[in-house]
Amino acid sequence: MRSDRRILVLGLLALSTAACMSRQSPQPPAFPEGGLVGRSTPPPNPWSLQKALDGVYDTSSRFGSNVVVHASQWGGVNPGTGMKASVSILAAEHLAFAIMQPGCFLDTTGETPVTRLVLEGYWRYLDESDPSPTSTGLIRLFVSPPEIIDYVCNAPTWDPTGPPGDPRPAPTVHAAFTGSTGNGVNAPGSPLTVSWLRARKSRLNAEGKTTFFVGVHHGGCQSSDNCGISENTPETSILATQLGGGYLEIDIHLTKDQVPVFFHLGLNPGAVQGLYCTGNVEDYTYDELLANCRLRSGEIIPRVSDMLEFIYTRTNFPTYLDSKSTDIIVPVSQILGQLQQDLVPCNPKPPGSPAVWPPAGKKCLFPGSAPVWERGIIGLPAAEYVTAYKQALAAGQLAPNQHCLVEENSSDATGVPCVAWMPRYTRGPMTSEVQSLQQQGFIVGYWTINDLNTIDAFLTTAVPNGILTNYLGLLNQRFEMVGTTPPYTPYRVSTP
Amino acid sequence: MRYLVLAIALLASSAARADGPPAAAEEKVHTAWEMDLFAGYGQLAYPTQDMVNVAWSNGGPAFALSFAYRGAHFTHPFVDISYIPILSSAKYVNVYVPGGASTLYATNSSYALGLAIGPGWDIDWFRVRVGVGLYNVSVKTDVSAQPNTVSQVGLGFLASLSAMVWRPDPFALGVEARLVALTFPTNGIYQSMWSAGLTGRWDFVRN
Repeated sequence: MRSDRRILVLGLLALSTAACMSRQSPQPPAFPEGGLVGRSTPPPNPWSLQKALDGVYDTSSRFGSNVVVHASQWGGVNPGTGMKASVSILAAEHLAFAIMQPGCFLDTTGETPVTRLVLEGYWRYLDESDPSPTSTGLIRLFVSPPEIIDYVCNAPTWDPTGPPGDPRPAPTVHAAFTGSTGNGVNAPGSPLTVSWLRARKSRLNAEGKTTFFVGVHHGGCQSSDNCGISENTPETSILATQLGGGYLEIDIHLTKDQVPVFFHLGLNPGAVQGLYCTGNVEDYTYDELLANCRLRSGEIIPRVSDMLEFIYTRTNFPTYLDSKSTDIIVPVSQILGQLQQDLVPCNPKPPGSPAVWPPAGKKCLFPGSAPVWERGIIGLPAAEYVTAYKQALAAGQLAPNQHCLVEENSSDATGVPCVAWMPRYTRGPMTSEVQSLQQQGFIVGYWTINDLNTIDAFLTTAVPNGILTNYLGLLNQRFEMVGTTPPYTPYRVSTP
Repeated sequence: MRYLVLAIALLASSAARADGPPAAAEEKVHTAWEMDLFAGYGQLAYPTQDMVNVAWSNGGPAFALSFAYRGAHFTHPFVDISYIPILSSAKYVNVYVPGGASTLYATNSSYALGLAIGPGWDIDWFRVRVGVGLYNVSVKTDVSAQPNTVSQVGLGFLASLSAMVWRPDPFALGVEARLVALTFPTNGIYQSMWSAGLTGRWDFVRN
């Protein structure tokens, strides 16, 4: 009888140890009442931070050595937005990053009031998918020396009708950061200094064209990594900008009522909330998805038209639209065609355009970004997608200058033709094929590499134009350590 | 998967031992096939529902039919077929659409049909059962008067506790509480439902 009871206890134990998952993602920690930045003014020119702070640095704790300090701009110039800047620390150790917002304020605590530049935000280790006080917390850094503070905080105000950037030469001194980090929502108390090592590598080739891009896999962070923003959402494009992304791979599906939406695979409990949200996106109309499904961090499943408008007006990302069914190709191309009509360059506005710009019903592209037809690239993951794309092209169903990307056969890139080849990395570097296509003006990258050693091997062996990854900080850091910019210009992207 | 393996091992162990030689102390061996019927009320237990904008919400009737083999051993294997109400509700959903906001009215219901196996134990007039099985979860949704049904099969666990308060041979009647937990691969348990009601037992074959 004693062994019988042991069986009973074992059985009950099996049930009791089955952990319940949470369907709600936690939010990153934030400073109470907006912290110091909440009482500061943003730098007058969002691009000044990039010139003043970008570089490779050493940190005294938390992030290790050879970290990348990356300043980013996002937001746009349309009503209700406004250009903003962020500063991030991107590290390989613990797959760590920190995202901070800048603020300038007059410090009157000393004998002489001085202007100070503060960066505040949160840090995160992505090697722990469930954030805890040991894997996330607050960070506050003060920038020095005074020349850098003056360069950033007293910059001429950027004109939102003018071209992007800061025309002034970069400061001649290098930045340093001192401050502290904390655990969880506790006030930062662990000292941190960030010291200059060297400038970041250029990603331009000899012709001045960008030829290396960090590929963003579904967004700045996977939903399962619990960053507070779900993958395949408009908000994650901002996160990806802050983390140094170069192009955005996002997944497109058609709902039951033929509405193109962004979503990855099934409506599983790790990706969505909602008792009545099960099965697949294709099982529901868009209204049913709106009524019953929320993504892991509470967002709605976005329509392709809404999210692409968000991305093209608030970031400068090219988008690799990964088709999840062949019948999505034509509707998404038509959306891209409409956006090409609706989104116009404003920074600066085209020569000879009317005084009132943009025209009624139009919106401005993100300052300095390429037109929609260069940025909306339809991904063709298998042979049947290539066939469907060719048929639609022959039937005149695609938007003018529609671009595509193939994943399987490099010959399809030249045959369709598309602008890029993006094979699965497990096929190996395929260096000769990569270089052959690059010489012909194609972009070549791989999906999806998340491991440091594999990233290093592919960066050094094949010298690709990009790698798709879940860990943008890691890839940025590895490019600084071992990466090389491909010499060939990917002219096919900008050729109609 | 480890829970499935453990439950199957428990089931195999109980079945094997049920057919094994009787304990020396027992003078007479009875084996029986029994059928159990359960009827009650049930609804979602976990996760807690966000009740904002919910017009109404309730569970529903729950049913189960199970068969068990009883031998000399303390443990009995069983098979359980069940209908489990999850939730029925109606809500207003305010959604953003470009250019403004829109309100959708949705009536929804969800239930599961399950087939589970596992071991059970009789402790005096109490009965405890744990099992593992496949549960087909169906969602019926009606948004803006457009009905739709979607189903998905997944792995689930069953636990039940019964008290047989009236036992006229070969029948027994009692009360029962059941808990079903649904899992999704790589996500673990994401949803559970309770039900409670009356249960009846009939030993329809005895040796």
